[in-house]
Amino acid sequence: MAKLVAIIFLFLSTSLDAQTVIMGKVIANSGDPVSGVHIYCIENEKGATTDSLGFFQLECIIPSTLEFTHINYKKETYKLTKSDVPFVIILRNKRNNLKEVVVTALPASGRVLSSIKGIERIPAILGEQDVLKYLATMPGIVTTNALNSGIYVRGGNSNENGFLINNMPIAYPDHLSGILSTFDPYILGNSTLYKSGFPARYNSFLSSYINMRPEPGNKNKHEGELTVGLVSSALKAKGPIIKNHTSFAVSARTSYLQHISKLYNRSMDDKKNPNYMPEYSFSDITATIDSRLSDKWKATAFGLFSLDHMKMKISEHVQYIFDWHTFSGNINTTYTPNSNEQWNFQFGGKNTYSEGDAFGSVPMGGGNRQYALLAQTSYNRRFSDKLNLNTGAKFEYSRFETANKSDPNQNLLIKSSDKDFNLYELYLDINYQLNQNLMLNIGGNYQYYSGDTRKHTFSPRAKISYSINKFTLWADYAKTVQYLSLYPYFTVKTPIDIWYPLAKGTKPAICHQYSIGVNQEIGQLLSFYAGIFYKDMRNVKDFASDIQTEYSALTNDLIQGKGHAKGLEFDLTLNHHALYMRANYTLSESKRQFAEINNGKAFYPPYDVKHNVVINFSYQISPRFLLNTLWTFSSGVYTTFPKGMVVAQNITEFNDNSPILIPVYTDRYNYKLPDNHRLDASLDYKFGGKKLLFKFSVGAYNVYNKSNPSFVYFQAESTDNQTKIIPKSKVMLPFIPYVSLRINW
Amino acid sequence: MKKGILALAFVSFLSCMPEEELPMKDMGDISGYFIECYCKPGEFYTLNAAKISPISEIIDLDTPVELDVSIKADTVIKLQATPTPTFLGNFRHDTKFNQYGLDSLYLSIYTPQNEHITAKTAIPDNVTISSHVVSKATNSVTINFSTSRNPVQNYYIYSVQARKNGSGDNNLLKKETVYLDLSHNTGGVTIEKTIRCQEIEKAEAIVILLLRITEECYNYQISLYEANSANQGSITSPVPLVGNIQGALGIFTCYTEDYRYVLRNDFE
Repeated sequence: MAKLVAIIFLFLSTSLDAQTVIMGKVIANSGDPVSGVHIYCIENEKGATTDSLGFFQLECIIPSTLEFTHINYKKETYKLTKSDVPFVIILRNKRNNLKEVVVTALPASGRVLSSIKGIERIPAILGEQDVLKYLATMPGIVTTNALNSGIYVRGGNSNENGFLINNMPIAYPDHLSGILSTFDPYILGNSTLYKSGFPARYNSFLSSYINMRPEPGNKNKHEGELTVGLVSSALKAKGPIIKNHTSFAVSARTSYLQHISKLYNRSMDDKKNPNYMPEYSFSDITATIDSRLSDKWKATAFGLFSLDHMKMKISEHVQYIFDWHTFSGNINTTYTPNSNEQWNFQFGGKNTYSEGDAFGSVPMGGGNRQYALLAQTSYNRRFSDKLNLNTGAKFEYSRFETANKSDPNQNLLIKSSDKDFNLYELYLDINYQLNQNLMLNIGGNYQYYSGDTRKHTFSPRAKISYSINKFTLWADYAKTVQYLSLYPYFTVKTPIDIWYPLAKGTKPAICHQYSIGVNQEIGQLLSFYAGIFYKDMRNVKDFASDIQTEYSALTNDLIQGKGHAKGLEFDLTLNHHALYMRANYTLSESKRQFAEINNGKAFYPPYDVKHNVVINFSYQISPRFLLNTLWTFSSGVYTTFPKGMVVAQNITEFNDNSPILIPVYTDRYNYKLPDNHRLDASLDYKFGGKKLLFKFSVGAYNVYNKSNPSFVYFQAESTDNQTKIIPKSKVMLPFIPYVSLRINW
Repeated sequence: MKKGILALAFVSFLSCMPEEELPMKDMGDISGYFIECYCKPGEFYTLNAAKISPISEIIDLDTPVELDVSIKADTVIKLQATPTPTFLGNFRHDTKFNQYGLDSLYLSIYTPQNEHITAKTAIPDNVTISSHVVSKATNSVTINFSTSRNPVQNYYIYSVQARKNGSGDNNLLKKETVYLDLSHNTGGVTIEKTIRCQEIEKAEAIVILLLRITEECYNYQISLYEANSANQGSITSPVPLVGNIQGALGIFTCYTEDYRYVLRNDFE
């Protein structure tokens, strides 16, 4: 026993004294990233420099002293005592009298930052850590349904979020259901979500931009990770390709849920009324290469490939088969001639393909593909201590192909619609320090869209922020434009939904967002944020309710309307030694209005969540044990309820015209579902030695088994010739216990 | 091992899929009539009519409906309410529909409030199953039939019932239905269609049914199917019923049919 204790302590001290790779971001008072900051670890004499997005990575000993130096900012030192904080440094301008460096997780300035350390503070459902699930715990960001993997930002739709890697748009690698991970934090842990006050470089989506910075890898030594979860496993590695020069990071994941489903479906006894389990599988590979070509040149490459397959068997005769895959890749080169200038040259591409077959009563099948080629360049120049300029140009060529399957037996796709567009873009951002406390950002984004219709748009941006000591107040305005719509197959967002560009005679959707926020830091312990926003949306798109047949044309149902969203956000974060606690509340209202829906009356869309509360409690019980809990509450969303019921004749019954009950739908989104709440919890146990480090997690989703409705249906109860309709809801995700294992070397 | 994995699957993903009763709310007023009239050659003229029931109220199929109903074929036929209230076929006339020499039918209904409900339908050509095969080896039913040169005549419903001996629901093992939009086949070609049905291995007889329907009827049947799917706990988007009656919800249409009754001895 004494030996065991000794071994445990040996491992413990080893892991505590070991060199740790810390990652962080350096920003100015205004919230803008600062590039070219030199970070130096005094204890091990190692250094690093921030990139164009202000990120850095450095191997250092914990505890250690870090020095931050930049020609335009005051030199700062910071005593790093732990590596488990979201590591953000705010530098003071040389003319600014702020007293000290601040380390914080900032839900401020309309931006939300994520890091792998923050992601590890929330329970990883089924062992699936995810960037998006972490972001969805921030104020103003909600999820709505267990079946839906999308996030909704400040009352916007989930298809109004732009996902970017190194500032380049990527195809959204949508995995089914809200429980599976979308972006693996091993490589994409550092991300910034912009929900207002967008920099001028961001446009083409109305609600938000999630820019992820891939992990550059380790330029000195090889390391790896194996995770084994209930639904998927992953193998990950990073290391040098050329030592101290070029590094890589790669993550490959695959699921085995489909094998469990197949076994279950084979054992199905009740063939007349079978309840088959969907056979769903996914795999993805994320890879990045980072190369320091010279003192002035740096290059990175990124690729993400995802592959999904799902078979839903309803009966022997009726089944749906869906396949979808995405690929995104980009190459980024950075030239830094001196500490005041930086050039970026980027090329990329993205491709989304989905194909579906519906065998059964309404045979449907088809495929749709979207691919895009992208090129962009940017230039950043610091003219003086007060003035900084960011400018750039972009080009995108996008093509959309949809096809119908004429006959399931022929397996032949007939092109039914081909669309494409060119998008040319110029932008300029100017940051000007008015005085010690006031910072002004103004910018503009010009776009020329050339497709079935041609449009010029100009999107102005403005932001002013006032900082004194650890208090920041800011106000911003941003206009955003969106050209794409998403045609939904189902009532929830699914990966097979069809992206569709502007049709002839339609206008791009426009959003004007006005936002005000305050942030107050109290020492390094406490952070408080409050924000208020209003969005005015024009020409937003939807699709009229109509039957979907083999030859439905999307443009027939495309409709335009308007909407607005408004809300309040509060966030309180406590970070004290082993304790990390965050609580936030969002009050919001989102409305849409279309002449073709509900007789032109404004309605609450199915992602309008009035109250949203998140409480995240995380406690490092000991260096080996970490307890994470997450409690969430969200108001019920609106769904479509029939207004009436009719009894119809079934003409397909031979000599037996038995009646069937058919709901009569008139208005959309006319029934508010009950509120949702649940508690997730996990306990991580870390153990291991010099070469291997194990993390064993045990946890549960929906600990107290709250019956949160996933979808609604109606059951008829008949006595004699009288029938009563009873609405019911199905709960897809009740209490789910799980275990997972992670091995690092 | 299999059992272990299944147990894990049950605990983790299915542990149960509970259902909750939701409160019924007042969904607002809904009024008007729901009318269905399917005219089939050689059959009596019948029509189903009912007031649309609000979802929060009890649906009473015996509630009588007062309407003045007439159909104009070669002559005007006035349908009468049946003496015993029933929903299906609660208006009828003792004349059989004869489609020869006709290309359209017209419906005219006056409500007690003197509102006028109207509809018009085309009459599809006869349809014939030219050949059929019931396969025990593949548990499938394959039929051949010829499409029309006229695209608007190329909407079909193909249905297969696997049955034990005798009639009624108790003897129905399984029914599979396919709605076919073959309007893109303009050349008048022979089409082969197959329905697979596992219950054929246990069936003592198979009923094969092929209907030629109008485009309006096809759209209406699809909307019935999709509205019903949305009601069955799926995530199918709810759609309104797509009918062809002015002033009411429902359908006024004609269809022709052909069927085969195949005993197990004739399976291949």
